[in-house]
Amino acid sequence: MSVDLLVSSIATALLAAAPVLIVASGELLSETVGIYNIGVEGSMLAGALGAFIAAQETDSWGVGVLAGMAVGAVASCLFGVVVNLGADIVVAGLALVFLANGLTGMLGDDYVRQPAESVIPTWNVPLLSDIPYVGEAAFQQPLFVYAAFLAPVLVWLILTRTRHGLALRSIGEDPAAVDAAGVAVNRWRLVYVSVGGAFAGMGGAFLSLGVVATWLQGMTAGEGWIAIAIVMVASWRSLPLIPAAFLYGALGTLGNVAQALGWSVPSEVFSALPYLGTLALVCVLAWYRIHTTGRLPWPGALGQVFTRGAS
Amino acid sequence: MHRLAPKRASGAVAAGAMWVALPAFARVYLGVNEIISTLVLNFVAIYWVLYWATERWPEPFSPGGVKSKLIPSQGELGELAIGGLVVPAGFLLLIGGCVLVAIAARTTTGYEVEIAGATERAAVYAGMSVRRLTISVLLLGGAFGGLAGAIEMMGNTHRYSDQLSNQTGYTGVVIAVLAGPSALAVLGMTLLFSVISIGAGILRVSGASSELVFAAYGLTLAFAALGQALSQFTIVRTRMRHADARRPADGTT
Repeated sequence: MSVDLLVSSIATALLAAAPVLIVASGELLSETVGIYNIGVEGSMLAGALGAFIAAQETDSWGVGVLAGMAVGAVASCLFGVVVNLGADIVVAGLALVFLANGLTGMLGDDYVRQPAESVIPTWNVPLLSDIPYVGEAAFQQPLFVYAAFLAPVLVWLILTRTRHGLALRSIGEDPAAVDAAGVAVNRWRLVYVSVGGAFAGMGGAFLSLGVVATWLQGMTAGEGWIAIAIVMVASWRSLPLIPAAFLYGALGTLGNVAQALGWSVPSEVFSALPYLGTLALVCVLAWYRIHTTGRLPWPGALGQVFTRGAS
Repeated sequence: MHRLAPKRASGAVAAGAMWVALPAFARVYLGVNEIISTLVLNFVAIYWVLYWATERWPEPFSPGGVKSKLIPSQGELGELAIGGLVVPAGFLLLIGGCVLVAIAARTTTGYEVEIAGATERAAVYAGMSVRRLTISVLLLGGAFGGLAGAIEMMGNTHRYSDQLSNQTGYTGVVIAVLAGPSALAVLGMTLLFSVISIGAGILRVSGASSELVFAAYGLTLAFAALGQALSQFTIVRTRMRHADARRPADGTT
């Protein structure tokens, strides 16, 4: 493999990993406080369309990204309200995905395949982008790639280096105890499932105003589900999200590599590879965990509704 | 129905079960959430269809869309004439499937499945093999899915294409969730959802988007979730003026 091919593949892998990485960071936030946001794919899809429409109408990608975040947050907030009331998480989550799928399909009809008027611009990082090879691979990217790779670091800082983060992690582990200590469990759950939704909406915006730069029906193509799988691969910790998402992006670029090298493997194999690879990774890591530690990697109260005085 | 149909149907059943094997074993032995794994596999399935329909059996005169050549006519699933009534064979299979599930629910194994689903710990304590039950039920579900695909292809599309499943799998999930564990409710829900989907088809002719069906499913599910959540609450009238209201309600003093 020539160096040029390697450099361009890494650049593409980082680009493809960015939307998934930011959605996974948001999903980790809401899973940390104990809410399993199954509907994150819906938030992402709604955010992608919201961002695209806003950017087309105002000619500003900034407004677009903010609109995408708002739409994603509202969608996940509705999910959170229903879940906090005690609804089945799976039913509520699938409802969000179906609703987003249907509504974006209807509302986005006029925007399908329109070229984006204002896309998220590329920014060459001063000094770093001049490093031979490395600069070209990693530091001459659209703005959102940097944002996406900083998001897990931000989540890590909040969750492990602040008092508030300690409270959030406790909410996910033992809501009754934290409630007794005076923390508003369901309020914070709602806040962070909405923040997670805003992250998912941003991930959608990165697709429609960045990677793909147009609106296509169902354009997230399962990346929300992949984000949930990435959180599993990272064992519900923030920093490991980065290599996990990068691996997903890298699997997606193998098709280009194969084409450049002239391998005669059907292109569908490479298109399916990121999905299969992520799933295989989830299984292998789950197997590894079972055979090494007995400790559950996920928050103790993940997916459990908290009602004061119920237990 | 042609004599080849049973052979094809059993192939479909085997393939459907095999497709679910990975999520089933991953769920039982590794604790991997089966919703996530099967949904991720859905996207693998799209490329699987794409490969067979466009590279192996492509339709040479296709004006767009992903579809294979027509299947040979002896592979089609026809209609059955019962007396003067002509019924699509697929419809009879639907009723047959529901009857089968209703009978299965009344067997010992059916009861064990119910217990394992309701309280896993009780099932383990009673000596049932929850792992075996879970895997069997998941594989059976996959087999039914495969059969549904075969019926759709042999009776409706007559070719392998990306329009084949046409959201049928998702509709099935919605129906199963809404119907709960009752086979009779599944039958009723299925008929209701056919009406919804035909209604959406008619609306499409008058200009509505084809995505309307998905939105309708989403709303139905959302209200089901909300209703289930709200049903846990009771509206209680309290008379605050009364002195008794100040006493703790549960009587602990």
